[in-house]
Amino acid sequence: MEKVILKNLGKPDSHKLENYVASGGYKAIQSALKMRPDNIVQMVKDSGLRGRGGAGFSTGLKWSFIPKDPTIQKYLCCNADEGEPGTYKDRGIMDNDPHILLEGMMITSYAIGASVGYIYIRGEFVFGAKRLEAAIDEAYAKGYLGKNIFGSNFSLDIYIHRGYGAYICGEETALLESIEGLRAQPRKKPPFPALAGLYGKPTVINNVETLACIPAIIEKGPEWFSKMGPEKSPGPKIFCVSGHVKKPGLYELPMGTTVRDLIYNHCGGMLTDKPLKAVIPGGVSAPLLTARELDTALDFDSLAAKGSMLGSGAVVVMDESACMVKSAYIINRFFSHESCGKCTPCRDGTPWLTRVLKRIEHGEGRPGDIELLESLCTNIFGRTFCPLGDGAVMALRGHLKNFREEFQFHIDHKRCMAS
Amino acid sequence: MVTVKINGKEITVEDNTLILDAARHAGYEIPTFCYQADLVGIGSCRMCLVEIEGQKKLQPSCVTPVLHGMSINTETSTVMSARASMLEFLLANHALDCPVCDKGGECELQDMVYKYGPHKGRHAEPKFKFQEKDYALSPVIIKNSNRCVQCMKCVRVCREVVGANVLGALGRGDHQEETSFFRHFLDCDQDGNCIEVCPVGCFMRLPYRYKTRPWDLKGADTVCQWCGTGCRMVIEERDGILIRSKAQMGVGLNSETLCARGRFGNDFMTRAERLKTPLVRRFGKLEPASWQEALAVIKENVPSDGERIGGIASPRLTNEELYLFQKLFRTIFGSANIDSSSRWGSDAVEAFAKAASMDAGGVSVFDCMETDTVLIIGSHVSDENPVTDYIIGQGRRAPRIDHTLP
Ligand SMILES: Cc1cc2nc3c(=O)[nH]c(=O)nc-3n(C[C@H](O)[C@H](O)[C@H](O)COP(=O)(O)O)c2cc1C
Ligand code: SF4
Ligand code: SF4
Ligand code: SF4
Ligand code: SF4
Ligand code: FES
Repeated sequence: MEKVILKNLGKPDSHKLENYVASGGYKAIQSALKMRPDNIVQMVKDSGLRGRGGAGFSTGLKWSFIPKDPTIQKYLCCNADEGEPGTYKDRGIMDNDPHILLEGMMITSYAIGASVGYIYIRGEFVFGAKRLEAAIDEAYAKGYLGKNIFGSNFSLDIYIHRGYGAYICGEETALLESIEGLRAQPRKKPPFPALAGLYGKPTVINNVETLACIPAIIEKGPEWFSKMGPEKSPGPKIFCVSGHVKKPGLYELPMGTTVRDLIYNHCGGMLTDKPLKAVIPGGVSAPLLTARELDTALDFDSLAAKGSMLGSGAVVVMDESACMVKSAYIINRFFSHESCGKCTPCRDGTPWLTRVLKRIEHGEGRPGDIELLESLCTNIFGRTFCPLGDGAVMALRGHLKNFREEFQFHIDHKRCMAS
Repeated sequence: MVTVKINGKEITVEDNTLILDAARHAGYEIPTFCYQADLVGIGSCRMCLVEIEGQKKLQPSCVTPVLHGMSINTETSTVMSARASMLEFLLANHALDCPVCDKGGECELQDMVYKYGPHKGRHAEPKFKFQEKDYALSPVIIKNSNRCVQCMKCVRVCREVVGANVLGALGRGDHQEETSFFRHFLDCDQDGNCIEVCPVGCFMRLPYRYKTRPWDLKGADTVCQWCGTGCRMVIEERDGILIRSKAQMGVGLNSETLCARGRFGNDFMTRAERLKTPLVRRFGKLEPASWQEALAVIKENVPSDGERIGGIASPRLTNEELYLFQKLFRTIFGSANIDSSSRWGSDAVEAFAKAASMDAGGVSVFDCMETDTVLIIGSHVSDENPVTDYIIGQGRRAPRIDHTLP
């Protein structure tokens, strides 16, 4: 497949503006500036693009909720917080091809009528922030950003906002709070950001990869995009593969690629001759798939049908040496550590889960612990303020459902079954 | 108006009524921690979850308005078990040291667990402790974070009502701690409204510490006498000694607030320094005397010529007291030398009263806040009438307020 998002990855000095332009960059924005903004929104709707940040919401539809009144200030926020463990696609884009993101943001801002854009980048991504800063400077120097970009009467300023290191900063409303200088905790919805977002103004929040898809949709048309992959979730998708495979890394493939194809044809197969045990298909909140489910297609709907999710597209592959109790414990510890503290079930429920899992993992499990975990999951799930707490439960339930006997073994024998 | 069904009972309420209020109106109690009528709803404690027919998830009734035709259930087994489970979560890390907790006996957490369960704990893990010892945040406020239910009411009342904005939260997740800036002494007026809204024994009064149990107190409803705002409050005594004064949610114009004087300033009643009798100077020293003795001294020393005596009345006296004061001077002492530290001349007062239609009874401070511009003349409200200042402050976002200091 011809790469769309990662097309410049690996080329020398791919981050420089001149090389981006030489590869055909900054043409889409110039065509876009000649179109009517609502036509662009329609094109993105027609393309079938769904948000790559995790929830998979139709991007064009999201943009269409922005009020048309030109007297109201509007904002675009790029979500570059990339906190989901195992996910490093946005970083790949920003480190290597920052201009594709800027071009995507320019087109999006023009389409929704935003005159200011923020890139909320994860605090640890110092290199990426520097690359973006340099790219923004280059763009200003060329007149691609600032007043009357490309000689049009559209003006746009883009600012970088570096995060302070919490997973919750990636939740879109917590992200807005953080840009405003407040503690990152999710806001109550409604009102939705499209009506009252950053500083109370209409705001679109999109993931880096989502925005990086926009230039190609303008250039090659929505039909081209919608023909790639499954009808209901089309387009190119970056998979971030990690774990027990020969060649972990970023893979840009059409949506709907199967897990088997990804692992065995693209990643060179399993790392050793130990057989595959489990795959987390979409970041650690996604319930895992077992070796029997490798023919599942990696797209929003196919994974949802399997009770899992595509999430951020982080694929974590584990072979038979991996202990599922340990995996559940580490993942859960992450969530309880990252709970923002706002709502009771997540704040006080997830650390309780972690404490029990820690005991089981360390050979101090008690009879009844599995039932306790399940009951706590019931009491957390669907009752939290934002999806973080639910994610913690989904991950744990995935482990318990498929590998209950490993938990039981840990409790009964005070040691691990896998290693 | 919208019509909804709550537990099968049909009721009609105003548009945008919260499910919580509609349910209470229909006679169903829903427990809450983070909800408070005069604060912006945050829907975070999840105590108030209810079932709405047709919706998969339980919804927080304190931030969800009713919609026409909604069918809401507040007492199904799912709702009841969600309530019990929230309390179980809150207790997981809770200190649960009721015997030494000043809140015991009037603690919302105790009451709720008693009512909604669970009556048996399953959390058999080590707890997280914020600190070993309570720490003072001011000469009158002391804090124990190990008992917090994270309702944020302390922070919100400080920000939204008092306007001081000196409280916030440190940390994240179950390490989140509502306190001052890095637990330093508070730079505020020490009004203690954070104490009043705290449902548990986190923010506590230092002067009240370990003095009594709430059930040993006898209370009386009264009006604060420190300033003209006239806040309603309850003063409580034990064995004839005043122990504390507190506000009541929804009662009086102050509702749940008081200022530092109203909350902590009434201990003068039992202070040794308090004057209980007149003092008469004998041989250069002030000594306690009876009223008879004191009046005799006055009588002896009042000059017969009214021109040589004058009286200054406090501007805080009531009209009746002022009347008696002038009567004493005019008819007994034969003096017209009467003044007050009230800063306005009678002409100015008259003109102002006319301009502000005060002769027709004036308007309440709340009506005043409905206007576009508020002019405050000759008063330092934030010092003199703090609770009035809170009310003005809450309106500050909308209308224009101009202060003119004398
Ligand atoms: C706890 C939590 C963390 C999230 N972290 C991220 C993140 O790091 N990056 C991201 O793009 N979206 C993240 N999201 C999803 C965002 O809330 C939001 O849906 C997304 O940025 C929308 O962009 P999209 O429509 O382009 O996907 C997170 C959501 C939750 C609940
Ligand atoms: S589920 Fe609740 S505590 Fe957890 S991150 Fe979301 S708002 Fe914060
Ligand atoms: S806050 Fe309430 S439940 Fe907690 S220790 Fe004090 S009295 Fe007991
Ligand atoms: S200290 Fe009290 S008022 Fe503040 S969050 Fe904790 S329980 Fe609520
Ligand atoms: S503002 Fe303060 S002093 Fe005045 S009545 Fe209210 S509590 Fe008393
Ligand atoms: S009272 Fe409704 S969520 Fe706290």
